[in-house]
Amino acid sequence: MPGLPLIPIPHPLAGNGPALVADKAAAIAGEVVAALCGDAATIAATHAARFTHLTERRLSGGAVCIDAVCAIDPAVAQRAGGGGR
Amino acid sequence: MSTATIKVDADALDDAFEARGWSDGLPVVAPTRARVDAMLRYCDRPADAELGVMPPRQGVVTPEILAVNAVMAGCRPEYFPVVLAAVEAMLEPAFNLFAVQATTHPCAPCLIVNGPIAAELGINGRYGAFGPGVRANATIGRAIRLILLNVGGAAPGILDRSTQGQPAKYAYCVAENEAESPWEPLHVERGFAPGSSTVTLTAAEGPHNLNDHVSTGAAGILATLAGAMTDMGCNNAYLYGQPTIAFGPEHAAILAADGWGKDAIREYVFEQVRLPRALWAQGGMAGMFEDLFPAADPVPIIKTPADLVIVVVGGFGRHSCWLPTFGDTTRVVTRAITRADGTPLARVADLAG
Amino acid sequence: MAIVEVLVPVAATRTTAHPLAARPARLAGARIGWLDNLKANAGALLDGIAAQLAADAVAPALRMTKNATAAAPEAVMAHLRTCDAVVLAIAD
Repeated sequence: MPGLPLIPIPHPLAGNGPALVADKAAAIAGEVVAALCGDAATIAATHAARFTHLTERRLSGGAVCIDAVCAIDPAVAQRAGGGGR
Repeated sequence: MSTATIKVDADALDDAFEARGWSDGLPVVAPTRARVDAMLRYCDRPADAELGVMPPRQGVVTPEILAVNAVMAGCRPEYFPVVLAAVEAMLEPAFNLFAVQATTHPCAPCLIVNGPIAAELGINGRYGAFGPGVRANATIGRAIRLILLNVGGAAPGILDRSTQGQPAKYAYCVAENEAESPWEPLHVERGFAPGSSTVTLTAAEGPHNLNDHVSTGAAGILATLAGAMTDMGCNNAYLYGQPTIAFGPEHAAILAADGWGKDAIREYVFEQVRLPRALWAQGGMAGMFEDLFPAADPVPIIKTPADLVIVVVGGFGRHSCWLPTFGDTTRVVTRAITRADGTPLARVADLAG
Repeated sequence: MAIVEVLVPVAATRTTAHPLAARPARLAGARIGWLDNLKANAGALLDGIAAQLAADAVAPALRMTKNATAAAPEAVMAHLRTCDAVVLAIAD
């Protein structure tokens, strides 16, 4: 649906701790406000082609993430660094 | 709308297709005009007829673009009616292809072919049916994956967000072993005429083995499947849906000999394949879909007995398998293999004139 | 070098545009509906955004949930229609 204001956050979300979820929320709050008020046609135009490039993206670089900033929660990664028992 | 063409070095075809993101990683057959036209001889619709749009990329589905991908997959032209019917099944809203394509779950559309066309095309429903070695299974299944990639845009990590994927995303196509089944075949159960041919689509994980080497009666086989299917790691434990049991013919014969029909097996699975709620609540997707699981304890993996799909697949040996699915967000869809006017096709050879 | 002409396997695309609903001019005083699809952390993300917007949105908010596997039922939609704007969180 072109123009639907979809605002992405870095994947994943389900495994994130409360602090990281709050950070991700804060990071997009401004975009949410911009999508919720004002001229609908302008908002639609802003979002119309936002993800189009993804659908045409080639695999030449291998299977890549939608967003370069996607990562495991650093707090989890730090704890995992010890490798467990 | 005519399909675009490009000129490439024949000796570097695979590199050219890989560089453009047009392959599944395996070498492809060059989709030349002559080969695509040969494929379209087995289709009585206009090559540019629009059959729908395929999510998530919203690619326009035409017989020609399907034929291009079927050629690349290595399909014989006569396989094309099965590919076309399978795509039409996936485009039915109940299948929810958008979610199937984009989910982090590893589901892949599995094709189960019934009726005389399965034998005509040599689609394997016996030994090793889910595995390699038979061109019809391998290339029809692969054509579906190439279509999902190139028409639907389900490139891994981009619009296909499956965390790990699974081998069945390369190819997932079997025939039901109707000749060695003691029961009514799947398509007849689902309302199609016994002499008709159909393809049934289910968005499933790979086959999970149900090994019972020792039971001589139904009780042991049922206990084995209940033990294996009581699976907290499958979506069905939290989202219901329509998982499939594909019984090997030996297990099916023993069950039937002891008086077990498909409906009785469904009732058994509904009642006996259940997770204690205290265990169920410790992980998985606990708490996310409480409206689906109001107070059940223990928790079943199907919402109603009728939701269990049962087929017979395989050769002799003491193995069966079950196919967990994505959950109730996708429903099993069966599509008759027909002419353009909806007339059932007795043989694909009739299409070629 | 043998050159072969091949058909491109990638389909043309066709999308359907739907006009967006009219928006309030400003968020101040608007009633916002928050729709949580119940997947892990979707609600927490909504909470985080709501906290950021709290200073602007002074009208009482409406919080609803939906099953992630299905469209929101009509009863939920009816409640959401009473809002000036709705935010849906879709988690993984």
